[in-house]
Amino acid sequence: MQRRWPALLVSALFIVSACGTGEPPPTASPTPGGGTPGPTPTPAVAPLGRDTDTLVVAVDAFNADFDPASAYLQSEALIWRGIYESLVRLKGDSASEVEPLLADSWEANADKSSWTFHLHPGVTFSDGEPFDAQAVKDNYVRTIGLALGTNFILGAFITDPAKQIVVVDPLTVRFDIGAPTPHFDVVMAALFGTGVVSPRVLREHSTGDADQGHEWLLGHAVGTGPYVMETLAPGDQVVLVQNPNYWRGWDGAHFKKIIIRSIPEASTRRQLLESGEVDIAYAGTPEDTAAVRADPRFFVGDFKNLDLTYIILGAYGPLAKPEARQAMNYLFPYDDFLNTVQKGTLERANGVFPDLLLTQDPGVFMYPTDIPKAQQLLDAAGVAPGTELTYEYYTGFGKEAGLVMQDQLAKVGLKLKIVEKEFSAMNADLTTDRPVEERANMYYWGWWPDYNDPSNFSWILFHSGAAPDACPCYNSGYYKNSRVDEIIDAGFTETDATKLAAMFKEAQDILVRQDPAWIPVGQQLDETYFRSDIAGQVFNPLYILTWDYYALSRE
Amino acid sequence: MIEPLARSFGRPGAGLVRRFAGARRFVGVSRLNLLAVALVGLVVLAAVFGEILAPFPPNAITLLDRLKPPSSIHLFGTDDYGRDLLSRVLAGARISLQVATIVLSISVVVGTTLGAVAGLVGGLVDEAIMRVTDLFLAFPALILAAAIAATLGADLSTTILALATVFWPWYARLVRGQVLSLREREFVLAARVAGARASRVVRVHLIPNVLPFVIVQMSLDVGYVILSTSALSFLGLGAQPPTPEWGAMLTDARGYLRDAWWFPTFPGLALAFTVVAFNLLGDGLRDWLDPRLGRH
Amino acid sequence: MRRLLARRLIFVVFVLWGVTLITFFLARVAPGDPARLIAGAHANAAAIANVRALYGLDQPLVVQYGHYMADLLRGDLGTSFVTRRPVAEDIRAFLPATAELSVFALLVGSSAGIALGVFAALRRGSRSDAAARLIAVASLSMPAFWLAMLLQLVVYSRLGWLPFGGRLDTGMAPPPQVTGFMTIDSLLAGQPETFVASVRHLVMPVFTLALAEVGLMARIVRTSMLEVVGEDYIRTAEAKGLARRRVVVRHALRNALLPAVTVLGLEAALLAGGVFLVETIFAWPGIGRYAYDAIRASDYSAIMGVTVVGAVIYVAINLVVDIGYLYLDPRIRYS
Repeated sequence: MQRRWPALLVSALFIVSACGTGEPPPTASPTPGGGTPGPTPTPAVAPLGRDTDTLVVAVDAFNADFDPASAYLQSEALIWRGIYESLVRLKGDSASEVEPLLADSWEANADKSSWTFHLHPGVTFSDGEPFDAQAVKDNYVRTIGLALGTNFILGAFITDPAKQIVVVDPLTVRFDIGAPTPHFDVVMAALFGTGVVSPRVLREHSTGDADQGHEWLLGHAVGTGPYVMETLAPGDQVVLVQNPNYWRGWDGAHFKKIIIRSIPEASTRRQLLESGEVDIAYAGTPEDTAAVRADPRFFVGDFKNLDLTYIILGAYGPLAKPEARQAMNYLFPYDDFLNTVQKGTLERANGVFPDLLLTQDPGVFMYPTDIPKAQQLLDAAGVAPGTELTYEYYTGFGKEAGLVMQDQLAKVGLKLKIVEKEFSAMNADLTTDRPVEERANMYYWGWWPDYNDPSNFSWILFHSGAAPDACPCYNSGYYKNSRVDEIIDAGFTETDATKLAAMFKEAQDILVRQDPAWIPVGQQLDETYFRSDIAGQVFNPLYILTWDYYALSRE
Repeated sequence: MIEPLARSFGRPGAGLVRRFAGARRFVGVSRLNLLAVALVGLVVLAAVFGEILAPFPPNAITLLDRLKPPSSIHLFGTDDYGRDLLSRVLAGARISLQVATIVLSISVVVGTTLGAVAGLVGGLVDEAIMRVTDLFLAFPALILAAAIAATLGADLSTTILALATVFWPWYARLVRGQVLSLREREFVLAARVAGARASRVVRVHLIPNVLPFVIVQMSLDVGYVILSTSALSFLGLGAQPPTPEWGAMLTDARGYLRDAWWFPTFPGLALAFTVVAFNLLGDGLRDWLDPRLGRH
Repeated sequence: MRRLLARRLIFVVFVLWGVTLITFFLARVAPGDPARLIAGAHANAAAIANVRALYGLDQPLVVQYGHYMADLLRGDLGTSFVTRRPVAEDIRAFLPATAELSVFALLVGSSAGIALGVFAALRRGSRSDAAARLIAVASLSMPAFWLAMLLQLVVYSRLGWLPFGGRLDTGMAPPPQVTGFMTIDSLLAGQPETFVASVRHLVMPVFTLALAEVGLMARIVRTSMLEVVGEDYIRTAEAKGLARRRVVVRHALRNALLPAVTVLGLEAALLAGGVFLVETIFAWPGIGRYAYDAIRASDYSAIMGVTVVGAVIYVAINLVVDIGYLYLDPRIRYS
């Protein structure tokens, strides 16, 4: 009898099958749906054994929140970008040029302190409710008044919405800001906090003034947009179908159905893409991206946007002193990390502001990796050897940087405890006020502005009023620098571009060099994978990792 | 609840103790037993001497060596941080055995004590202890362990606690059963009639007679503890980075199935072989000691 | 018999009560403020205070437990803050997928295990016996998550023989729900294509899940077969010149299966653990994956709901097995 280990057999098979992974398999692709694998006749398109009118999107995770007053995550927006619309939107891949959507045209008064929008006539919500100026006003009064997270996007300019938003006639709405606001149209094109929900929802599903339909909107959505939600299976999939009464009509090529699937495993997303089961997939590991990019059946993006990835350094406990946080910056091996672990899928960040941000200063101080210098600063800050710091990240985002940092910290005699959280648990950690001993010292996170403006970007991340003890915002390191606060506050109303740039040059020097808030790790490149037969994709640097489903089609 | 047979030994046999004493003959019974002993020996050696044998420190990151295939320098290749997989697999052997040892030690001490007390004292005490035991057995083990690990915070130490919580009731039940049956046996009765102190009865008669059962049960459980530890780590509820635990390594490897075959292969093989080795040993021991099967 | 039954039922009630007690306090000692999680990431202090008052989270633990039990007895398992739906509704939605997976795994695993056990017992001491033992041990020892990775890579990714993830092909509409089993419902609805898809989606998770069952069942069947074969009536039957196969099937196997039935309880526990892993890996939309997501997100209502429902099912299976065993084997008396 031959004694053989079943485990050995299986893994022999495994090794054999995995050899030859060096090159992508553009011809001999698996064909799910039966039959033997073999060369496909048209090698430039992956097999498609399903309904051609359905778009299937594989994302790492989606979250259910369809309330424009609270939904502030890309993982939520990727669903409701097909359901809600705002008055205007950013044009194509521009971060500053605005085009009409629910508003056909708009104008400002002479000093740009008052803006008037003319709405498109005849638009209805998917529940049949008419869309008009009153609906716009009701929505924004609600969003700003509820204070559930996205309120400050418009609320930074409109503090008394009931008075400042004026219904001129059913198709005209005016925003009296009271101070010169040259880019208010750009603000109105923000993805978050500007969506318009059917007023019927606010009437029929409100459980009180503090709710105004919020609870109901966590699982339902009614907007003016091209798609309506058919089914929502949290953690599994969302199905959107065409809104038959959509105001822009259904002429031309559009998908009938959009299926968004939650596939946390990057390798599974890639496999589903390659086997033809999904049309669009979020990027996986650098190795995955390289392989898919080399495969002619797919199109892989390579677009720099305003998404910045960073490690928040808690300004408390062992890292309370600026020297300690400077030391962390000297420890991080920027170039090695970006070149080897990230394989160029992340570009080195130039300070704490994205390259494409309006006021970005190209001459910002850049930390070299310098371990003796870090040691010296740690000694100066009085951080005792053997101190243990905590690093928190969420599944699938930031483990690599944590391990690298752990290795680097060991070189200066410090320990790093790495904690993995599920996304929503980490999100709650970041925005909840807790005693110092329950906080992590570092959080791996990413952010981009709602619209291209340095104060909008900075306020929620660096302003002392945005720390978790003040609001459920993302200054999760409890960063507090009074000069930075001043600059951010003043920046909202500064109309002189040169002055604004000078102010934020100073702010960035503080945030990077003098009193660091983060380790700015890198700038994300949008490398979403598309089947080559999908047309109409636009990478907007601010509408990150979400798509205009109405514009997409299959060739 | 009727005790599942898979974890019981039925009626105790008089020859059991003698049988256990002649352990050398165990490997002669079947070549599978020899194989089991050899494999377990190999795993133990790897755990003990792994640190010396390992060519690299298991957690040393060399970013430039990311995902290198097996070569003469890195026999098992490297992982996504350029860490030497052979060194990590060897370190993993030690971790797995350590966890199994601690989990089973706690389970055996707690379970044996409670089981013996229940069996010796009887009455309400017995009833109370055994109902609590049944209560813990009513949970699906892995889910209870996962819930405990998640509640206390994912870490290898909470994994140990969680698994001990899941495993001790089996020992309590096993030991109670044996004590109950031994209590009525002539030699114990005789000793008690002769006026031997309770502690002496326990030491001289009960422990030597119960111990073999416990040891066999432990050998059957080692594999299952190692598997559960890896499963919890694989789910992100156990060992945290950079601990070179096999299940945690496999989680990391999931992202590179297609591009680096060596990464999931070697930790997986190590895990499978180790569990097979211990299960084979436990299975052989049980078969060999089970009197119902009356060896020829 | 009736007294025994009453005793068992009292015990079941005690166990279930204990389960609620443990899960409740486990959830409450956990770090993190449940009100904060329920209120959502962006809620302000006032909203959190509202939630705390609304859910009675500001009351003493004992009072909270009282409310929890009262709700539980009404079938209210609370609301998941992740899915924003009642946990009972979630469990109803996810349970059929798990039931289908488990039933198939149990059927496949047990039949293969019985066959292997019988085979080994009949050839006891031979090389075939050793081989069968090795297979049984190896199948019991195989890490399910590793096997799943191998299957994903080889069968799905390389060979393209079977689909991966979900219960049906992407975009395929599920048949009208009757039993909750995709295979049966698609047949009832007369949708052969859906039936084929559902079977193809079942193969890999069922195989992975069934493997451990094979080893467990084979070990028990072999042991009890050997016991039975040694008994007098089998010898008598053999002496009477009955064909060996007939003896095996008619007498030995029938009696040997009795102990095998009793391990169903253990099988159920093993399945529960396996389901947890297998569903997570194969993206199978069942209770196991739901529980995993809940644990990762500290969604305590969902964790407690799944644990309680799981314990109820587990205890119920064991109760049925016990009662069945009492009827089948009159020699057994519960002590």
